[in-house]
Amino acid sequence: MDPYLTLLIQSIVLPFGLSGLLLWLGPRRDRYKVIGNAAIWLIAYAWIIGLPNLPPEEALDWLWLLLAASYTAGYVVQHRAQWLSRTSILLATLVVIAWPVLRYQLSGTLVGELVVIVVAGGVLFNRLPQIQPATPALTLVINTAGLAVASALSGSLLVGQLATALAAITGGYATAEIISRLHTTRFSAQQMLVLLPVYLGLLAIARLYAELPLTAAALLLVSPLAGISIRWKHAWVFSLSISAGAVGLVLLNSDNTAYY
Amino acid sequence: MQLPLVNSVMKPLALGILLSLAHPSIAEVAAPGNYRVDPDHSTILFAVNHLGTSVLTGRFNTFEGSFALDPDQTPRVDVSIKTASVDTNHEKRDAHLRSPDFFNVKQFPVMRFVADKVDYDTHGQPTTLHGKLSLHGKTKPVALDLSPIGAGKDPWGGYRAGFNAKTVLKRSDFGMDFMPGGIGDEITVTLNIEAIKE
Repeated sequence: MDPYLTLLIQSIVLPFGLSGLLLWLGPRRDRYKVIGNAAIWLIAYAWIIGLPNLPPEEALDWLWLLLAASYTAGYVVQHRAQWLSRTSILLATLVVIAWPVLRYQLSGTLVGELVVIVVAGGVLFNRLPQIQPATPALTLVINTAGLAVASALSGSLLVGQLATALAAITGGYATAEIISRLHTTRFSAQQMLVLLPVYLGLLAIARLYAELPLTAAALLLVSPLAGISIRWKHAWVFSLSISAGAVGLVLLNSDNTAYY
Repeated sequence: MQLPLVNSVMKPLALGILLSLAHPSIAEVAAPGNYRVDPDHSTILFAVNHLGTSVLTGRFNTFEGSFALDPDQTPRVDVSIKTASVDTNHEKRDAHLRSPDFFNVKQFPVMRFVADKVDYDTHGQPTTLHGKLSLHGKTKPVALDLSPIGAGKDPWGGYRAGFNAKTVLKRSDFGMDFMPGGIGDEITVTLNIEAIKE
């Protein structure tokens, strides 16, 4: 099969199609949709990177564990402890993801960046259940698509593909939100709370290993905060503007010649 | 009457003799001893199939190594290459090669070859290096075909020996299997080594 067609199917067609089927034909109960979408992303993930190493050897090998742990935090842990467990899981995963770089190039800046990502994650995990954003799926699609493009332009197609698959899973829900003129959403806060840590993990990997510029990474961190924290039906516009700004920055700094 | 003979025969002959005295013999067997790789006069190159239509070449610019040359001693070859020094003459492609998609240089900054066995021919020249290559977090056995180039004294009082080494690796053996359709799995690695005897 043509390698670019394979990329398209792996990253977009498969996850979007399966997630759409799950949305329209699957069980109504949200818990099954959450686990279904997590499973769809894992299928795309396994196809894109191959089966992850056990025990994990590279940063990307930790992502499926992060997703599984995030799901567990939402449905097994007591409600009061969920925020703490999600934030702790994110912190632990980022530390193991960053460990090779921490070992060879430990610096205050690097630790600071990781702390900022964890704090942003903690804020998101706290605000989401309280605010119940109007267009969570559309916001997540915008952020993950921005991360996908920025990562690919910065030098890692793999991270770009994984982020694209994340966007594709949410794409069906975003489409439903748009069709309903942003009045209703079928994408629950729980869905977002399970998938957001994966977004943050991918962002950390792109920053640490794929030379994603600092300013672009910062914008991609602010983007979901803006889209979720602002109580406005069209808060997704902020995410769109900020994500577009991040992609623009990467484009400005990169050599635009195609070499593939 | 001797002048044309001097011009046509003697002068070139004299020049040839002088040149052969100034340059090391290209037929000399490398002397046994410990050697240090001279990175200024050595290259590590690789070639890979691109889209099934052409061969793309690249190099690693930063490396160091040492080896012991003696049929009677336990072989010792140790070469380390900085993966971030990969260079295919295209900055964007090199950034991609350094990313988690391929070499993941932040996590695996060095690849290392350590030889534990050397085959020699009847003249005492090494022919094959057997060892282990550690690359991308995986260690696999590798054999390099060796071709001695030459050896001898250099103009600065030292002694140098040169070798050409070649092998074919599969990048998938080392966990680098991204874009199998677009980029070939087999990588031909060629080392042109000049080493200084210590």
